[in-house]
Amino acid sequence: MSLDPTGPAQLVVEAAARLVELGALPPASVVSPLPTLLTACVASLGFDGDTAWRVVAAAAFLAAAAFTRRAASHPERRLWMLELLAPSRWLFLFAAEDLERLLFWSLAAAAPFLLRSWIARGSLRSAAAAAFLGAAMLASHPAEANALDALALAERIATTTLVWVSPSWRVAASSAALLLAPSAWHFVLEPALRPPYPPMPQALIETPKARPANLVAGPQSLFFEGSALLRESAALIRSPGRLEESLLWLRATAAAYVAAPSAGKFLGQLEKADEQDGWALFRLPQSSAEAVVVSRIGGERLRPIRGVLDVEGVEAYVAWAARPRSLLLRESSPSEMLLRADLGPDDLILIRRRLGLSWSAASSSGAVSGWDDPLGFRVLDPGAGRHEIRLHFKGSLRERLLPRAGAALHLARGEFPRIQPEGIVDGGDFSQPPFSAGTTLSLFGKGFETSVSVVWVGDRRVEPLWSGEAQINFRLPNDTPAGSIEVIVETDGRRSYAEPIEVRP
Amino acid sequence: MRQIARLGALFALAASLLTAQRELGRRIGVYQWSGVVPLGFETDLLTLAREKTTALGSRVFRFYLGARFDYRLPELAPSRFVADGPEARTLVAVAKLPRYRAVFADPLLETVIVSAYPALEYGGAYDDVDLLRPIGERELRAEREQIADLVRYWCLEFGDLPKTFILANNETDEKLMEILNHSDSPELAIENLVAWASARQEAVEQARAEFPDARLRVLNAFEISIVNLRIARLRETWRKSARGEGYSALQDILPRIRCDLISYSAYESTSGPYAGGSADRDPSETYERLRRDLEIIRRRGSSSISARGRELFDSEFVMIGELGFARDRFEYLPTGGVLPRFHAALSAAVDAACPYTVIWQAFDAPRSGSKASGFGLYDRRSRAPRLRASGGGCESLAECLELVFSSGLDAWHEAGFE
Repeated sequence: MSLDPTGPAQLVVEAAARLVELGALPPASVVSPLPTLLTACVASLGFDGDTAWRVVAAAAFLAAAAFTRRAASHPERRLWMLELLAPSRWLFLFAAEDLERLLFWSLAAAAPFLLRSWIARGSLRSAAAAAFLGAAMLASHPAEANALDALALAERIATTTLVWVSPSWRVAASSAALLLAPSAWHFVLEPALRPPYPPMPQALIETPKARPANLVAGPQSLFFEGSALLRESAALIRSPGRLEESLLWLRATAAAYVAAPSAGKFLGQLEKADEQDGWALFRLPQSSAEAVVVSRIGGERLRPIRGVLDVEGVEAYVAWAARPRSLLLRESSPSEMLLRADLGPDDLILIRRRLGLSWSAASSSGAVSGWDDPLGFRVLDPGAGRHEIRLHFKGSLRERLLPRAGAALHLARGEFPRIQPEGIVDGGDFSQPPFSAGTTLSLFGKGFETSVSVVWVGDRRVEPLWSGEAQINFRLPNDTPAGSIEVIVETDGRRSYAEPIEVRP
Repeated sequence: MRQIARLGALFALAASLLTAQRELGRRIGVYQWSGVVPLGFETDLLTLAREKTTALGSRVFRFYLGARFDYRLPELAPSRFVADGPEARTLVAVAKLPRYRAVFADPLLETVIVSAYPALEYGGAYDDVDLLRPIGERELRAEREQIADLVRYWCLEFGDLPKTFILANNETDEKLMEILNHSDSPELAIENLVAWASARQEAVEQARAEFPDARLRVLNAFEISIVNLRIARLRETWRKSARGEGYSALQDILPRIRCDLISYSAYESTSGPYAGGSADRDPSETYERLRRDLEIIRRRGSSSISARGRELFDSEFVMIGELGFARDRFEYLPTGGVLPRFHAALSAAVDAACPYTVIWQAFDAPRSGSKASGFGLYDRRSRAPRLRASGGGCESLAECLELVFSSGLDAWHEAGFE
């Protein structure tokens, strides 16, 4: 049985591989360090990623019970076996394949006993053990709570009550019931934890056609988990709807393939390259080159992408980044990449990898400056001419162990309104600008909401005379000054890009 | 005697019908750009599209010849041409590959239009000559040499055949817009494109002059895609604009170059963005708009036509290099679907005596973002998609074209539209 490539196990395995190769941990907001460290340790003994994950998970499962047995005082010692029955542990292991939670809650099993031991004895040794346990729990705590955490917490209360408090038969019975009853939830939780289709076969994403870096495999991936924007775009791509926006994001990330349910939204839209067990690997009709030549001026004009449904922002990014001129990026070792380029004066190089600050670039003429684009991919500016560029990972120990998560972005939810280019016309005869102040104008676009959208003419808020999903009629204020002025549509706080119009004197 | 006269009349009628059919089949063709082979087919997309085109009765076929894709793998796939060996780099080397050579040699094809792009290496695999930087001697030399070599290869290999091979580029206005968005410099864009287009014409003229006795006609077409629109800077990017200010190949490049004929990629006329911004217009307007725009191109482009072009085409030197309607944009419009619009556009092209009209394209391209899709005569499963039409008439574009090639454009019209 293989690990579910759509589950969080995939993240841990990828992070462990990266740790082994580069000696660098991913940010804790992406994967907790402890599962990564333990899996990497086992993997470095020669096991593959999946096996290493299983070894760590099995050890954590058994260690929790052993630790409880060791820590429990004499009369309650037999109750350690309850740890083996804890439903959450089985769900972590087999249903969710969530090593972070398994480790965290296994460690939590020992916490009450260590705490009691420290309180009772007050020895330095027990204090150190409690502190070590606390640190380990911190290093394995999941970023966000979910329903399984509630179940695990209920179990902890039950076992602690049984083991720590001298139990009457009533307390014992009710606690046992509390402990065991949630196992029935398995049948309820299972469908919620699993997608409504069978798990994607591991073999599908291990096909030689797919490279993990730019494969949106439905599974979580460090490539996508590294930034909130990419994580949300991956969720959008995995969702059953929003086909056009999903295809746009797949273009933005230059994905070569997308793995998705065979009968899902990509059916009939993309070519199937492979198919197994209800899943298909769809081929994207685009260049998936990891390094491309892009425009300097276009790069300077890029704006932040404000949310996963900021279609205009993503389209502007794609227009800049989805360039046909590709370069060959050669990975000579996990910490070094080589690139050869013949560039014009307006050219930059876009490397579609989230490299972070620990990677530097240099050519024969010295260091190559660079910056990260709105998706977090690296842009290099070596200047015009022929270049041999070497990218090198040189993170300090601190950067390797405590990498910075991407800058926190405030991502807006919901669709952004868009004004069609040259989509503001005279409401009477649909003629283009210039317009006279006081004229009724029709504004065409997308993402408008009746009775919610408002129009801004310069810094003046103008209430629409009429609004539909794709058209707004409004009157240009009588005192609008002559010259160029920008028009914006705002819906629920989300603003379109500005469309300039000319106003007659 | 009367029986002989009747037979003679019938024979004459049949001959004229056959001539009319052959005439349209010789003037209306099909394009195939990139893509991958439809499901269930072993052959390459180029061969499949060529066979589909000739099976309809068309004798005109257009395709891309260059380094960006090989009709087996998707565009810019890293392993494109790898299976063809290390030599597949220049135009001639690609043209000699069996699937490409088969197009030129196909006895059913009388006219082959090639969107030809010489290639150079810039750090990745071989790619089209870079026009985004100030064009240098290296680029111009590649353009001249590779095109001249291709013409020589054609004349040597197919010089005895009564065919026409037209070398063309793909939508100069798109390239103009691409350079403007890359460099923000209209001067650079115009100078580059003038030098590049001139080099192509010079190469064709020089190489074909070496084969004065060839029956094969080799011509060079310059393709534009906007007539009334201009490329202007709007919201920090260069886009097509209806506001009248800006640049276009017709206005800024064509007057400074020579070519044998002008190719018009006709979406501006057929999709109607210039006339009110809406595609939902009566299909009959397509006819008027296309006639109007073809006339504008003829008027403005006449001084750019070479002596060879004038000799062959007189004043009818504007071909339609691309004509297409996306099913997802047009088929469900209240004013009419794809078929009546195609009929109107083809009627305009025939009435305007365009020497060639090329339909975009044989097979649907895979869907990409919010781009219009479903242009193909055949979908990704090689089926001809059914379109709205009245009973008794043709129900797909492929069927309608077959009807046009066998019985003329009027036969299609008589079937009527929904």
